[in-house]
Amino acid sequence: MSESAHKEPSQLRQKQMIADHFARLARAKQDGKKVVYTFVPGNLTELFHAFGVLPVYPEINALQSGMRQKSGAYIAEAEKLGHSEDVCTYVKCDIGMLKSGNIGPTGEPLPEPDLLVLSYTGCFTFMKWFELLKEEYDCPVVMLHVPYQGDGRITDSMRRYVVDQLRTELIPALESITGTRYDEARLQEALALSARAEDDLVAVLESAKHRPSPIDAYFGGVYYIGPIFTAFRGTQAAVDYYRDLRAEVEDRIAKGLGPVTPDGVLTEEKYRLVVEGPPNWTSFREFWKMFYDEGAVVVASTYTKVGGVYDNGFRHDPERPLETLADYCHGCYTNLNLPTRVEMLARYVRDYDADGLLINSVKSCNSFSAGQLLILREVEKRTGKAATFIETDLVDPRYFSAANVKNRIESYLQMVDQKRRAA
Amino acid sequence: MILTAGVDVGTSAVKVAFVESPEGGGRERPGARVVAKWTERIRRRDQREVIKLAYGAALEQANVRPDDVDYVATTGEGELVDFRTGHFYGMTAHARGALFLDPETRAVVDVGALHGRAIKLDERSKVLGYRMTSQCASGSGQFLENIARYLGVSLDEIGPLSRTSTSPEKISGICAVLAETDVINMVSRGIAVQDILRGIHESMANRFLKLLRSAKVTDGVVLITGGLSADEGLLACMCDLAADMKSFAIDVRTHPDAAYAGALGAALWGAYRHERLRERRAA
Amino acid sequence: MNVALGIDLGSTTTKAVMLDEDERVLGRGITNSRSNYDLAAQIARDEAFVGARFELLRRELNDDAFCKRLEARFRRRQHLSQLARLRETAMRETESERVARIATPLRERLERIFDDMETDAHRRLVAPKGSDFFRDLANSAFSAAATRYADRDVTFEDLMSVFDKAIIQVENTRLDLTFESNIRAALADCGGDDAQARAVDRVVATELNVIGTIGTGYGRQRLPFPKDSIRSEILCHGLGAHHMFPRTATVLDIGGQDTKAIQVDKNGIVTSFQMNDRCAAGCGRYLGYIADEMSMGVHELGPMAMQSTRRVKITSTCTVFAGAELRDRLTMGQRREDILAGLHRAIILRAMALLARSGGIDEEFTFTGGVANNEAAVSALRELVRENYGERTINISPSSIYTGALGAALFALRDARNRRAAA
Repeated sequence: MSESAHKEPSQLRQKQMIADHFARLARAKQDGKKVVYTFVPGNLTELFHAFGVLPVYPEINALQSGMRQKSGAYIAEAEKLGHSEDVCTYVKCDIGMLKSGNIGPTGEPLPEPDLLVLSYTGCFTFMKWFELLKEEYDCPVVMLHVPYQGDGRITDSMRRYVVDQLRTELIPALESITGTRYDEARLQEALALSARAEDDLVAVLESAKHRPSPIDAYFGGVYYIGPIFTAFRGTQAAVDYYRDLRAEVEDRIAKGLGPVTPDGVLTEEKYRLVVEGPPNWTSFREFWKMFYDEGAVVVASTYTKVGGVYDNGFRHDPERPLETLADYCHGCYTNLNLPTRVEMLARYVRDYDADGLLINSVKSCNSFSAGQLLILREVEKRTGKAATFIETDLVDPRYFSAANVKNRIESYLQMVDQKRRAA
Repeated sequence: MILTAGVDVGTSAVKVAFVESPEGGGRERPGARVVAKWTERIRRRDQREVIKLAYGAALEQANVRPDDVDYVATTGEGELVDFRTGHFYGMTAHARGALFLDPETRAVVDVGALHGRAIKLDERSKVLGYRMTSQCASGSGQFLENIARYLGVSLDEIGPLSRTSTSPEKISGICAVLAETDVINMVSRGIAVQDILRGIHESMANRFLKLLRSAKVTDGVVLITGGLSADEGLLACMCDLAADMKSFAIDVRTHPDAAYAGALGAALWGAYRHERLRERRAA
Repeated sequence: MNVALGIDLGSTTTKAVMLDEDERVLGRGITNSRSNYDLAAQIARDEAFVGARFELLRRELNDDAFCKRLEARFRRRQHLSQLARLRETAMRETESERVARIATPLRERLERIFDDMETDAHRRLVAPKGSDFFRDLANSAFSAAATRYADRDVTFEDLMSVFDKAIIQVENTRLDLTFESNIRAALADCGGDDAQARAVDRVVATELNVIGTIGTGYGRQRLPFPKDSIRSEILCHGLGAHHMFPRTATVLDIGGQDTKAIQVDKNGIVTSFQMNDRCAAGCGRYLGYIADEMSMGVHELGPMAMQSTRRVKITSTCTVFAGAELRDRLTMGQRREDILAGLHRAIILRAMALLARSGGIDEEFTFTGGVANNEAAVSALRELVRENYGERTINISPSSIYTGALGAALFALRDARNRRAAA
């Protein structure tokens, strides 16, 4: 995340981590480092660390472009090339950025990939995206086929199926581009570091069960998940970051403080909400402020589980290195079936004592959006709490109608208010 | 001398131009001059009535009788003109008229009430390519008129006001109706009228520059024609934005008679066709 | 007596409703919205006061026929004072540099135009028309007269541009059109007797004490009200519809900029709602664009569509594409009536999708907003409701345009009661 929402020490540390990573990327070619492009959901960052390969995440570049108000022009560029209005705007933004010199968030050009790795096939768009990038860079692609959790669990055969692909396809490809052998001990080291950071992250996200919540688990949450879902999982830097962050949050709980927002600390917590769906990046601040102005804090969100879900006890396990990677690939939020997602959201509403559920639906993102109305009705039914639906987009500024969104959020909160008064 | 009339029937106004040109002028009509011009905004009146009115006014101005006119050429919704001799496509008429107004013109941006289009042409007014705003009325004169009414600004104030803007407000450009909503919300947020207008001008200018680009126009003189050609705010925006773009070396211009480009072009083509018909009859 | 006010600042019209303490409607006011929101709200409010005083007079006199006559006279008085102001403003416009060359003949013709307009004021006010707003009435009368007096020296355009400039100024000034100031002159016009005069005096002397005002609608942020005097239009529409039709379960409101599908409980409290976010195809403005495209008035569309014998299937859902499709179909020789019938159905189809998403149509179903006055839209709605939900009671009130303001007034009254109870 380039823009820090506030300047807590952890935030400054994160900024530095990101700057260092992009500096490494800028020097990658001269340092003889290999670069892999990959996606956030179910990513295999530890395995890349084990090979000393540097990861780049096009989705993150796209959302960064959105936050830096560059995405509109990039998308226009991609649409000129013939990509339709309905295509995922992350893809168009990335393609547009590529065509405009592939300048990363720090102003340095990004290195070209030596390998493209797809570790989550639940999003069909990802496959198409990498097909396009393959045309562009002419480098090898590894696509892991990751089965959908249709029955709401990962079976032994699903796990074996993915582990086989890791052994026979991904590891050989990494060996071939780096010229080094797979070293399991190095992977296990990284996995142990991952597990430590994951424990702290879960503690941070679950701190929102307190009243008042010390964090905003959606707008603030996206900053908290930044390091763990990207290049830093499985590094000491991430362990340090999450340790600091957890200490900060615990300090806020002790002082009875609400979350820090760009517009100041939320002093009066009037509404506690659960949010489903990705945020809008082009108007991120404005969107957040709409909640802040109404005294609404998000206590739990599913977007913060987009890389992987930890709240059901999963941690990376150094004792089962490849199996644990396979489980992680299977376990990202959008690979869960609808009943599991409904159950998860209903549990959030209950466990976090929320007033209701807000769904931000993004038309161009099927992985998230398919079935959201059904989810909404079902969660309403199971919790007896009001839910609402807004529509925005990831990084297409044309699709954030601030007045409409604000109007809905206000209407929804007034409706919650009425409900509470009637009860 | 050949006397021809051009009648350009648009959705919001009827433009009539009378042109006199020496015999044997071929396509180019050297020495052609305008002897009358008249614009009549329709303003919810019957279009045929307005056509009669405008044509009558032009006849009077040129001080001629209907029978003196050798050829009545129409463009736009020409089928409403029952006294026409022949009809010409808007694209070719505008290209010809623009070249007549400014011989250096190599591209036209025609901004009408409901649509805008970009036309690329050569030095003989041959149309090399064109693009239209296919999807959205938010780049049209009608849209601007609706907004002006809402803001309580009369049409001739739009341009001068827009030019005084210091911080233009961005308009979301996906849908005309949502763009209107946008403007309504700007008013409710207390944004200054001139900043709203400049924001609309910028979004329109952007749209037209995109059109030019997709019509493969990257340099040379671009003439703004059509109903909004007199809007100095739009013109200023086009110039500013084009100057900021790297891949663009266009020189954006307009002309006091730019609104008549279609009518003039039709009249000029009419003179050429009139001569051809005469030759054919003589043969 | 104590009264409560609700003001609904919509994108095209601004409405006000006044309630007495028994929740009975005393008066309503409406005006066209303009960029000066405060003034629009003020004028609607003034009108609601006028309406309320006439209602009190009806209660005093029990003589509907007389009150009707008196009100017609009163309206004419109002209209004439607006006309006088317009004349004055137009004459001032002739002093501008722009028209110096034709100032004298221009003034002559304007005098004639305004004389004519004053002469047929009465006829104009009783004739059926698309709009009651002074701007529209004056516009059509002026342009009809201008057609008569325009010539080569002073063109129709010269005259109309004076009108354009003058009407903007008149619209943005508040004239004294109150009951108190105009009623006695109107009474004299009618030749009222002493008893009637005394009743009028009593009504003028009645104090209407406003104990609460709530604002709603698009412009509510700009209303000079504190935040707790603002309610979302969703809640207001729900409550307003419930007040008009107490058995309402589902409300559809099609306004200028948006369409809302609302579900309410037996007390009129909103339980769920959906709005159009990213597309305006299903709302009133869509009809406005179609009307522009066909050079017709919006109020003429419905009646024309009702003349259809073979409805055309419209494929474009987008407002703007529909405009293009309309032109194509007209060139193909299809009848305007049949195309319009198709367009009305297309709009209602969008609304049906929204209704489905909000939870369907329950018994009873209330249709509100400006489009509810369009017979072709209503007929398409009836048909589609039957096809999709079977028999449903469909409520449409002739004053449905006031639904939001009515809900706001109810909230104002309830808030005032709660304040009193708390004190």
